[in-house]
Amino acid sequence: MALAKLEQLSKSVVQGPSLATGAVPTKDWMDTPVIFKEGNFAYPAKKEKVEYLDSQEGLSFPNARIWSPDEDDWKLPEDWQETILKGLKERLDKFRSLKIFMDCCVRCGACADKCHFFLGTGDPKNMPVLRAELLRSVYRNDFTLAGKLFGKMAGGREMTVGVLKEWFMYSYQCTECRRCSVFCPYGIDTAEVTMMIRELLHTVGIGINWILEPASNSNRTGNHMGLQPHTFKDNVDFLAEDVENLTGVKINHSFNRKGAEVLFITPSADVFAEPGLYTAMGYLALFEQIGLDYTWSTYASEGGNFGLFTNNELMKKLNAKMYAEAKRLGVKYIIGGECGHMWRVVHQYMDTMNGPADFLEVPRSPITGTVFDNARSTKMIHISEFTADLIRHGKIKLDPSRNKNVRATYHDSCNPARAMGLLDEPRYILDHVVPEWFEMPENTIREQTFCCGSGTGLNTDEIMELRMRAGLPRANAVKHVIDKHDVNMLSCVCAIDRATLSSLMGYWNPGCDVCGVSELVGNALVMDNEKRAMGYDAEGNESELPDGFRTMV
Amino acid sequence: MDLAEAFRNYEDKIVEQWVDYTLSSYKSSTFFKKGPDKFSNPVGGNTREALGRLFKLLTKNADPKEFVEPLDQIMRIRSIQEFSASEAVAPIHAVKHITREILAKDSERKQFIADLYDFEFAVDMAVLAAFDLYMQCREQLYKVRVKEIKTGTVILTDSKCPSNLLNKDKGDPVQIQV
Amino acid sequence: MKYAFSFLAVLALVLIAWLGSMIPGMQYLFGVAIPYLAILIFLGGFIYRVVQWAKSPVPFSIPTTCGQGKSLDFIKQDKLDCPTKTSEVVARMFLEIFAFRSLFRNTKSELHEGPKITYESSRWLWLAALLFHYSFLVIIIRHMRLFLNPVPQWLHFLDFLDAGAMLQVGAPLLYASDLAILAGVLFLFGRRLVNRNVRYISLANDYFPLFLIFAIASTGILMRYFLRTDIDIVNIKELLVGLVTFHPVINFKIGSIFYIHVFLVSALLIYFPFSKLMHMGGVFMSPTRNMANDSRAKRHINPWNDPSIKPHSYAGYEDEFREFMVDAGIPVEKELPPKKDEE
Repeated sequence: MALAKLEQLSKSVVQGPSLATGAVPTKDWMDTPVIFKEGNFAYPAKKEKVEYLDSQEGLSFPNARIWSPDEDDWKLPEDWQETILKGLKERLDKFRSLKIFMDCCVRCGACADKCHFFLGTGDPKNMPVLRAELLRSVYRNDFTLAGKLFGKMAGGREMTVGVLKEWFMYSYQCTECRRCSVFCPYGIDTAEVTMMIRELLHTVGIGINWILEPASNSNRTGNHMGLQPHTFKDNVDFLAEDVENLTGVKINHSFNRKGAEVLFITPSADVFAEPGLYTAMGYLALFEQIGLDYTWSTYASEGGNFGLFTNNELMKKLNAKMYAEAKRLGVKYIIGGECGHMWRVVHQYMDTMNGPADFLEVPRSPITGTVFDNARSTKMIHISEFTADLIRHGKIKLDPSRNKNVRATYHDSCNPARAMGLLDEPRYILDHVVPEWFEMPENTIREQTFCCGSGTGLNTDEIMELRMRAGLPRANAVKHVIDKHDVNMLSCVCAIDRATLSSLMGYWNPGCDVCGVSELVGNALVMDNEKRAMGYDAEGNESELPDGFRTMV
Repeated sequence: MDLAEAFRNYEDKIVEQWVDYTLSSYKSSTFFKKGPDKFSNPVGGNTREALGRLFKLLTKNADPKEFVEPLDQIMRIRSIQEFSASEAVAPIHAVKHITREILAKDSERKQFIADLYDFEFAVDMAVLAAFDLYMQCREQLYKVRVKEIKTGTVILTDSKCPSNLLNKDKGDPVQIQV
Repeated sequence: MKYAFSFLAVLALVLIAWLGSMIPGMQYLFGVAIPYLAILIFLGGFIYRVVQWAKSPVPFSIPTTCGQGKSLDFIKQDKLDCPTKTSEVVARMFLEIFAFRSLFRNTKSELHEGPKITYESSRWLWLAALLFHYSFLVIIIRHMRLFLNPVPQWLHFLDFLDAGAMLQVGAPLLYASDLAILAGVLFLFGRRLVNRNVRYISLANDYFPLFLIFAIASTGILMRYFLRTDIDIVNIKELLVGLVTFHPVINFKIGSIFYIHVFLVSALLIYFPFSKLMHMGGVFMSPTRNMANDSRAKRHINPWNDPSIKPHSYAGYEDEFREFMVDAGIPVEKELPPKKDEE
């Protein structure tokens, strides 16, 4: 009797198809169409941005138009189906990974519960295996004998508008974080599959603005925010002034300077947006203290590469600026700032796409003399590698007590962790710049780290709820160390993380801030001839400003 | 034998059914229901933990203020999961019905159903608190969104101005069902 | 539905072989022609598929790094999970292929009452997969004694181990591998039915090989222990050795169960190259596992790299922003043109 009422209760509030229909899906996934509504899709790319990119040499972004995913008619070109299938054929011939990943999956399900999107939404199509099946079903239908003979019985299906819409929905609910590929017995990497689907979608004019606009900005002005050279310089100057105000040390930095030893490239968000600004101050202070002969560039002022989220041609084109600028300025090598996907591109793609960088020299730290043999071909090193080496050789003086208000934990960003193997360098640095820091649970860090939920160009505000769902596994692990160790700072080495984890913490764990590791380095750094700005501590005694750079802006 | 004893006796069973009911509001409910692991299954793990704690509070005449902490643990998740407000809050009610049903089946303890008034009142208070939390979470979500726009985390040159973005908002993303 | 279809398909195969082999003269079809055809399709198909894969280049170096990479000398490299040398890659692949290492990684942490966290693994899938694949391998090797004359010593030894593991007397001996493969298949099938996630993603193509392999193992066991009418190992061996030496003869009546068994194996061989079973070859070629994480130390070559894709040029950039750059004191390549006249 009571349960009958309970049934009524659920009926009265649950109507229509949504995540809350109260039942396990009874229909086959192929028969479950996607429904777009405000909040579950990122806005489509603006017509003029697509046109601009299409006009660039070597790029193809056809079918620029005004459209919206929640309308029935996506205004696809007449021959879109043919374009997609031809594009798929072409990519099968170009990428062995795609062929192998299409053929080898046995649907064992080991990946299913490893995806943060699945864990946060419960939507079965967010299981990596099913995300890949969205493409694989079309592949089977048109490119395998079994599919041609048996069609749906062999798991094949025809390429329809419905399938295309599904591709759009779920390739933009994947952050290419590669966590599933760690657990797959064949190493099937959903990131590869998502990249291919996104490439295919672009061939018929389907893309999102939060990726294509930054990409076109990066192409034109050098950075994804579209900052023109003087504005970029102003921002860095402003940060340098703040560093001087805090430390009393004048910062000598330069732009587009020929003959510098090192070109420094970091994601432009570091010079523009909180809390990346503080990380940039950390770089400025560190380089000043060790007297590094380096220059910023306004032309190559973006470390991040939004091309990675579109297609390999655009990725290559945007990335090419780094070597082009290094060559023009005649530097010896490049140091890269803290960024996740930038480092995926630099580590796994740059040399192949735009090398060989025979005009550069194998990176050698001018302070310690260490030769970075691991980067002997690409000639670009990560700031964490550079800093860890300085600390190891005792070349900088650090006072961890300057970070005494910080109780930190460390978030491994997906790309440095799973596409580079940069795990212990930032940890080594943390050991020396904060009094104490705490690891999150074992299966949420290092190669098993959970994504922030907003990578690959999904950090746009119109899908905030989706981002919060996808970030739940990460936030949940952070909450654990907050409860257990009073952690108040989530450190990381990724610019997208600094932006998106701030929002994620803002919702799930208010009171926990986000910072780059280099910010903590800068704060702890004892500089020659410094004259630290003074303030008052909690007891009213005069002391150094307890929040370091954070006090400045 | 009294009601308190009956609660103690059936606590695990009631909470188990309550969690089950709450999680069956998800598409992949089986996965969420299985495994007590909070890290590889945050939705299921948190729901289980929160409802267990909440039940203890509901049955011991606790101050409704104490409900907030466990409720927050569960409402914070449900507020961003494509549920309408009523869908998000509904499972909190369910414990009333589950408890009645379970006691009714036990002939020795059937009599205590008449004494459930205080308990059910506590559940009502929890539901109200849950609704407040739902609203707070939604508000916070939009604050986070606005903050992101303001701090320049959204950094597109021609969409810096929030009002520009509002033009594109075709409606409230929450579908309110009447 | 999907498993019913697959089940019926396997049942149909059994019936075809059973009825077909009873028609006089058809023994040559089921005992000689089809097995030859199956081997041919299997070898040809397998090689074709691998060659097809190999034809597509690996344009980028995309290993999945599952541990600390090689960098500074005081940072300890995880050589197995983030290899840089060929020997390390080989070790990684060896463990991947022979120990299913990635599946083994399937760990879960469990939060118990209180602040204590323990880590347990959900390694049943790994265990069942190992059981299934290794018993299959042992069975295949064990069957070699039916094709080889004389039987090499080591095969006798393996046979002895497989049967001896059961510590029993009397003939015919019960093989451990027979039980193991049935247990493995049943677990994998049961998992597909019981685990909702896996059930939801399973296709007919996933059930079919399981049923087929189950049927193969069962007919084999039936033939060895139960349906022994007209099953004479000497006759069977004569046929099989004949097949291998290309002088196949069928001089004796052999029971239907033998033809069913052989027909199902042929079906598996034919099905193999067109199905997901090709993961056997694919696992060796997966770029996320078989590449060294040395892409910054050694340039990886992409054969279709398009040199015509150039960056938006610095000159074009400076042309657009020169005035601002000069104003802001940023060095430029070309100075501003002298102003014509000042107003």
